[in-house]
Amino acid sequence: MKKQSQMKIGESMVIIIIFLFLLVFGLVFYVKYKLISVESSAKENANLIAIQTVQKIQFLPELQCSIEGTINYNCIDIYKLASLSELSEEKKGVYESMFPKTKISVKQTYPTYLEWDVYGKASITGNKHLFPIPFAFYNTTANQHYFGYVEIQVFI
Amino acid sequence: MMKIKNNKNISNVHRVVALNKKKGQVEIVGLLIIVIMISIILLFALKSMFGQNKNTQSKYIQSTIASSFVGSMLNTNSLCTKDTNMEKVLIDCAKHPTTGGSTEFKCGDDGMKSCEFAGLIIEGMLNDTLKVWKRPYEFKVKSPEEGIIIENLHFNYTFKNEFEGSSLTTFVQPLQVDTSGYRTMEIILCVGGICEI
Repeated sequence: MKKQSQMKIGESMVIIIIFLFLLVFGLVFYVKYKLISVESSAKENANLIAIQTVQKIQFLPELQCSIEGTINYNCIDIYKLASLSELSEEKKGVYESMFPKTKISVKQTYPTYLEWDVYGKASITGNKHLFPIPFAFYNTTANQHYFGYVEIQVFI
Repeated sequence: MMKIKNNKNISNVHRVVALNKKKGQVEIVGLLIIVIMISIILLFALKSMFGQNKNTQSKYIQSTIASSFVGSMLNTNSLCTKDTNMEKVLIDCAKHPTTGGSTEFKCGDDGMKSCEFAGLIIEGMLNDTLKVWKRPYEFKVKSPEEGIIIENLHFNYTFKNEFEGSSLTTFVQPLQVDTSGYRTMEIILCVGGICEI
């Protein structure tokens, strides 16, 4: 009778150990899955902000280039760009609601390398997601287009 | 007396049988719970493995990169002659694929023909952008008659995991080679891998 009880206790213990093992395995799996989904939702969020920012830049009169009244998308006027990047931090504050959690810089790569910091507060923190989009740059005085890209950094 | 004893024995046997039956039922319920638990875990695992988000936003960004690259590149002044942009250089290349370009275009210090010059400039542009951003690509230009006239502009990158990379995006920009509109060349940029067309 005593031996049978001991056997029963042993059996129960094995079941509890297996159950605990399954529970721990499930928990680890769940936590890992959650971490991945949080990471991917952060990335999706950053993607969304980047898409919005690209579209805003394409239609932003402060940057857009127009030739004889015709607006050219995917093109930035170099003179407008220089003026915008030279604005004081205080004046750039009006773009805060338009470009949240974002830093925007512009790089011309052809024919020569040039760089402008257009917008972005130094105090922005968070995980950085980088979205570079090619753009053409128009020099109105020389009537020439150059090549480069807009680099959008989203902090989530 | 003997009958009473027999009856007692029979009822004991019934009790043992009933007890065993109950024990069996409990065990079946236990097994059922385990099966349900394992099924739930399996379902969860399968959902996480195959139910990945298609990530349409990433695809949108990739197609924006491809279309913006081609659009901006075509607008860019070639510096081949003062007023020629890359579009004109590529059209000249497509018009004269066998000779590598017309005699009108003598580009750069070496007086390169349009096809060679376009290939060189576009390679530089791709190296400064997509290659730096570690995005695999393939770029090629198809002329109406001769087939592919600019090729071998590609970059492959092996991603560390499946979340880092994204699927292939193919962007095709048709360009009219002459005013008749019958002859059309194609500028093809695949981002995210090597072209399948």
